Amino acid sequence: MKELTRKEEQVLLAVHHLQDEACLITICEQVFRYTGNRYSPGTIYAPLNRLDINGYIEARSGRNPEFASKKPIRFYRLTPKGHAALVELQKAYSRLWTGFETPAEEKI
Amino acid sequence: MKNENQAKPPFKFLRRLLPIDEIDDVDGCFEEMYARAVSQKGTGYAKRWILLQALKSLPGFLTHLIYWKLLMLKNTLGITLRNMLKNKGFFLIKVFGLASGVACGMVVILYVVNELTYDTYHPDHERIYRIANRRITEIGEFSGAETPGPLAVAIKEELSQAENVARVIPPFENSKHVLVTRGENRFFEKQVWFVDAEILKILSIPFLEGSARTALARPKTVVISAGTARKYFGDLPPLGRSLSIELDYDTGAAVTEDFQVTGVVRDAPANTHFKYDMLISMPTLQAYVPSLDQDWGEYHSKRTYVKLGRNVSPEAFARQLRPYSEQIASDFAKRVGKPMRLHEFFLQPLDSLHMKSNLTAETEPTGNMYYVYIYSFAALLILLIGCINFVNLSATLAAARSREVGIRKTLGGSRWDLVFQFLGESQIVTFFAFLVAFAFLSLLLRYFNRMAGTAITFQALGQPLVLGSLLVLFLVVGFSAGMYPALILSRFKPVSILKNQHMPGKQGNVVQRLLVLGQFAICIFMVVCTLVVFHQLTFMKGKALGFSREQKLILEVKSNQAYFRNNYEAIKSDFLKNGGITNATVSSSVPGEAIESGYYLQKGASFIPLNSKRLKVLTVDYDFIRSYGIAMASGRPFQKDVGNDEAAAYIVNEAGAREMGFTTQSVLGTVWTAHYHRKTKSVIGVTKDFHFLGLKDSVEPILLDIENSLLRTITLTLDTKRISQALAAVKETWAVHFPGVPFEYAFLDEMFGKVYQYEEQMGKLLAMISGLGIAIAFLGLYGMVVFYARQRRKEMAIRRVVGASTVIVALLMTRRFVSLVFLAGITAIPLSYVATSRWLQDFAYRIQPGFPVFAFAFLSAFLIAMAAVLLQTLRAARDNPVDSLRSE
Repeated sequence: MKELTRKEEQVLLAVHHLQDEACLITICEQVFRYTGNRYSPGTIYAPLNRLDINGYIEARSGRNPEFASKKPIRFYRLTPKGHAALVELQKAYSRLWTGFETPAEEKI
Repeated sequence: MKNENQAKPPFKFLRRLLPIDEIDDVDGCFEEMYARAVSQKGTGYAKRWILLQALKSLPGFLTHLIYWKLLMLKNTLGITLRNMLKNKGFFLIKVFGLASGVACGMVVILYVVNELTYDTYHPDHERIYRIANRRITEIGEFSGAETPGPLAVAIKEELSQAENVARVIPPFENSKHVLVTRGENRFFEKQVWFVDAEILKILSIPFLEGSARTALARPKTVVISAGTARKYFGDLPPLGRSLSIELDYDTGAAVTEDFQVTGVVRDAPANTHFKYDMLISMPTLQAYVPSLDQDWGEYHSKRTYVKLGRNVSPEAFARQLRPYSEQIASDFAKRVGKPMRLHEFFLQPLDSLHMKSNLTAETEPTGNMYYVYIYSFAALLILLIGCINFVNLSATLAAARSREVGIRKTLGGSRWDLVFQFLGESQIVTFFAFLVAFAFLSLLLRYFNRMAGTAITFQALGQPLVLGSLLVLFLVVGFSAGMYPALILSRFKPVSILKNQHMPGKQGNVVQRLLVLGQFAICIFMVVCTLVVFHQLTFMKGKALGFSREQKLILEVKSNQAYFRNNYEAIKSDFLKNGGITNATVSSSVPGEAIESGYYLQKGASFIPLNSKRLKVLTVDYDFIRSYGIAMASGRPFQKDVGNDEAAAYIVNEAGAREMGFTTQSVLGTVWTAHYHRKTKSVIGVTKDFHFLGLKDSVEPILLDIENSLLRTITLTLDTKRISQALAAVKETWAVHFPGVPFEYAFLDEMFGKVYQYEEQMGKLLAMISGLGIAIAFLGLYGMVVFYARQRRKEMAIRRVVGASTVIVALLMTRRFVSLVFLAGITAIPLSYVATSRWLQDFAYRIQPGFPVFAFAFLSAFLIAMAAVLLQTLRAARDNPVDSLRSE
């Protein structure tokens, strides 16, 4: 399996967390919640599209009743491949981080 | 809802820029984000934000666009070339038709630009003016490009608004033939001027050698053009050398003196009204005519040019000249005893002098807007014929391309995509046509220059104005020629085409037939115009003019005029001693040139300009009337043995008698005094009217007077059998009386031919253009018929199988085109009648364009159309029907 970039990883996680609500705008907000950075929709759209093309997520057309726009919007959800990738990632991270202790002064 | 409405414009913009497959993804998102931005930070911010988003996608949009357009261009080019190769004949007809039209268009653009850009090359030309005057006296009204000599001096000293002012004066009587000598090199020069040194600061006359500051300061110095320098000095450096120049200073007799060359300037360009070969310093003239700077009453030939300061309006400056006008008017009243009703100076902008000014004493013949219009119109017509050809052939050929259109449309091409493709194709063909046109142009220009007397070179194409108009021409031609076929082609419905239900060419029929009609109407129109011009010319040439012009040899005395005027009887008898000369006479002018001098005649024994009559004057000798074979209406011609005609007799023509207020009988014996020499003579005879200037204008009132001071030409009547011998003898006699003066002669009928030169130019040009137009129209029609015949092959074959004869079938095909030519005749003939009548109005003696002219024009168009159609249909009809029907 190809390694995902950091941004792709964040987007993939956001799609996972948002479940049925995952569309470009909500993903942007979710990523903001993770990282504290406001990425523009354009910045998010690129990894999102890449994930879509590579088959980690799939898109469907739908509406969010809370939105002002009455136009159909794309919603995303994980494919099995995407889910497997997340599982893989978690494992890799836990392997990476085993044995790492947070330094004392930052603990508080 | 309200929010959406507000948001519309930026969204539209954004949507245009986004790639089609992404719009659905992001459109809703953008609207949502926009709504949030509105609620959080206000509408203004939101609008700015959405615009910024749109701008961000611009670079991507552009690269995308250019990439695909280039790809399409490559495809279009390929398809165009493939189509060209497939239909070589049609393609050649299209390109050559268009190319001949475009070449004519180019020539006319060059001609018009040349005529309209006269004198615009001088720096600050918009501040340069020529001062002209208008004066109304008892005798009449005059407008002339002349000013009194002191005006320039006064302006220089008293009016600060004028930056520079200078006079330009030709050497009076012999201005058109100044004899210049250096050793063996002797020539008559035409463009010689006395100029103030300041003219060099007004007009652009760049020095190649010598210095503009000092060259014209001293008397007896001359500045010559580079061409003149080569003529007299060859490779020698001309500076400081001397030329011997014979000049008339308006003091009675010409004077020959040595002049020192103090400068060499660039040759005058073709597009200036002030052409110069030699510029002589003003102090030279001032030495002979001390009153030049003082005499306000003397206008003769003196032109004044002025360059105004910045921000000085010409009207304001003209107002400042009023005191001088008033002074002149009161001086005139004191001198003549009659008030001058009006005297005023006015300013003529330098760049308007060629086209818009037509006063007396212009420095060269001015341009004629009339011919600019006629030539432009003719070129437009031929361009139109070329374009129509293009349109028709493309539309006809469209049928063969219906499948391509069907496929393109099925694959997602929109109608406008197709329109652009076909427009692109027509631009490509136009491009080829332009290449061919440039090749034609060099040929055509040479011909045109010879006909119109212009000197336009190929290099003139480099001017920005010309390049600009060529670009416009290119786009307009490509667009107008391509638009209709593009619309036709793009309209095809893919379904009907691919199901083979399509009837090709049906929709375009009406328009196409109208276009063919237009083409033939233009052809008929032009043929009528050409015929009328030539008819009028032959009429004018054939009609009796009232004098004989056969075997007349004209010698103009350009030098040693004083000697000639005092001894003309002796010179004549010396010429007559040679064999082969039957007659000799002298006069002030000869047929074919305008008579410039005139007398004011006052009835009675003294001249007070009370109610004087103005008559053109021909000063002659005793032999003139007999020599030119002019008939008398009443009275007698001048006779040596009856009384003293030289001192006491006038002769007028019939028009002259009318002008004087008498009949041809009652005018005999009346006594008149002329303003010119204040001599009182009585009228002894009236000649029949003779057309000295051809039949363009009606006969002018002319007075014949025996008076030697204006004599200028010798007319010798030669014996037909011994012309070359006589010529040699004449040359010898000339050398005896005018030693050192070049022997130049002309035959009267050749000279007289120039009277109609503009009409002949126009006739030739029209003949060329209508010939070209007919050729193009013929080819176009031929091409169309080839295509129709190909399409209706089966129909013809079936008709023949059923029993129709070849001729019947061919006529069936011909019918539609015949009716077209008839309609074209019906539209063109009234139009051409109106146009030619308008042109003919300018002639005092004219033909009435009659039935034969129109019938001939119509028939020629008809026959040519028939030839185009029958050539093809007969062949198609004669084919063996089996060949056409076998395939199914």
